[in-house]
Amino acid sequence: MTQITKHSPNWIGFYTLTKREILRFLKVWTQTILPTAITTLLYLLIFGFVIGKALPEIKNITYLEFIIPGILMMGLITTTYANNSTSIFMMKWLNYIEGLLISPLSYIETVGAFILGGIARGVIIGMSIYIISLFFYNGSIFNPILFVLLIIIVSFIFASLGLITGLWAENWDQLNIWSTFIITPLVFLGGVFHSISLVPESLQIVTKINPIFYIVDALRYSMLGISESNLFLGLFLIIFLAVAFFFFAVHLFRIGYKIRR
Amino acid sequence: MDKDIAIAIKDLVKNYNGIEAVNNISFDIKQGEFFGFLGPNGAGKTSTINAITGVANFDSGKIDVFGNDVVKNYRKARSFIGLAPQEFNFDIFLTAYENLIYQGGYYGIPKDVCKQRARELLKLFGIYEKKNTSIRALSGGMKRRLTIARALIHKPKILILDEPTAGVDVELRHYLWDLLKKLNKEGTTIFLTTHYIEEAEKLCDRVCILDKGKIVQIDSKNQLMRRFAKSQITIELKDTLRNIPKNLKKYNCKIDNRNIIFLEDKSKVNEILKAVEKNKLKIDDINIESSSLEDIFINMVRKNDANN
Repeated sequence: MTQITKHSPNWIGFYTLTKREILRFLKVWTQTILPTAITTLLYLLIFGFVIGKALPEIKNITYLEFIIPGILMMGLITTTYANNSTSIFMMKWLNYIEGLLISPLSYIETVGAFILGGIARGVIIGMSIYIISLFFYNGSIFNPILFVLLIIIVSFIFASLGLITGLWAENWDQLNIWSTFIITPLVFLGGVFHSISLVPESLQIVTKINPIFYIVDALRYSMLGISESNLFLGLFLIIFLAVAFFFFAVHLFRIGYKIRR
Repeated sequence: MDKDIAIAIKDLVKNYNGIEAVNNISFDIKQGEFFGFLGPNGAGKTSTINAITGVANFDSGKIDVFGNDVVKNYRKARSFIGLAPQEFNFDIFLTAYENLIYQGGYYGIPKDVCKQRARELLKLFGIYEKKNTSIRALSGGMKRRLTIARALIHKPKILILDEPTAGVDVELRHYLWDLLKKLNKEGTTIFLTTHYIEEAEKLCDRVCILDKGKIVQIDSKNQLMRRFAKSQITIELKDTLRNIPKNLKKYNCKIDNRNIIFLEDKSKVNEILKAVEKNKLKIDDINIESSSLEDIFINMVRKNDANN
């Protein structure tokens, strides 16, 4: 029998769940990695390469280069969110979550392992999109440390959010509500494909209250060195969302929200 | 806290949508005990197990596992328990072997130890050749074996089995019974829920009968049998008897054609036979029937239903 005490971390348990989460998406990489890579390629070809040629430069940056950080962030957000919401929902749906509920994993360890799985997928997606983008621009990164940190922390945020909504959803329809009606509109309205300067002034408030605008803009700054928002506000928001979503997810696990009968 | 107590349940209440599934029950299970939890469907057996193991929250009460509160010190408490649930809950995307390895990992078992243990368990349960088979391709009996194997992956001090032989064939049932007896002899505390009373009669030291979320009776199996078992001694005569002889009237008996039926404890059989012979009645046959734990269980549940 294992020697679990009240406070000692269950590192093996944490590692096991993290590994399970990573292998889960790697096993079906044609469904979890490849589609995002292909979609990215198509976005860059059509919007960037074909349509983008007809559009003016934004802050001395070609339209194609302008949308690369946005497309990277879009891929990252939608994938990490889908990764964790689907994983936890499937566990609930097929009831194998009981294997976790009865185990001596702490709630922080459980949530942490799920999030790490989501980050792993986020990093793979982020890197694949970056590699694809090398066909379209010179690949220079203005602030590489910020770039890597943003990829990790944004994956963290949306992996946590995916976990929360996956716990909340009771059926497939509910699971899709968030991505269809909230995440996707926020992403498209968050400056992925356009500069805020192109939005009529009266409607700019819609962009400014959209947290994804700050996330996309921060990544654009890290890659291209241009920004349209208050970067400190953006970074504060990003850290706030990461902390808030993480502890909320831990709280939901602690109370057994929709997972303990 | 008595260290010999494996599970201590005090005033446990569990409601589902306003319906009391478990209604203020308290009992202890001693270390090394083979404890049977009997009750009809919907009695609250699985709800109690779920509350102990962390599968369900509970509304009030307290549960300790070897002195560890299952809410406050849930990690330590859960590390002592292996659960074989009634419903299969495997990760269907994994193989039989992988299911054991991952579960062992969650319990903090190092990978090498876990692999060795998984192989041993798969062999013990006769499913080693299916180790790389997807869960979906396993038969019901194989899944049942795997459920118990998985519960044992971390060598738990307490094994909780929820209807472990539901839907399995006779051969497997007997195999599982022998295995559980062996585990119990080796020191594992076993908490078994079943509605096969024969199973409890064969295996358990102590039995708790639960109905409508309440404990109807809790005692050692032998004590229950002594207290509640009824015997029927039927003496078949060569000739028909019209009236009960005087010296037999002190017994609870009746005449049915050539039979005198005594509703008395079987320990009185010699005394009754002597009394019958005193009347120079010729005996053709004697039949003694004792009620089983199942009869006691049914009587208690019926009585409880009538009282409610």
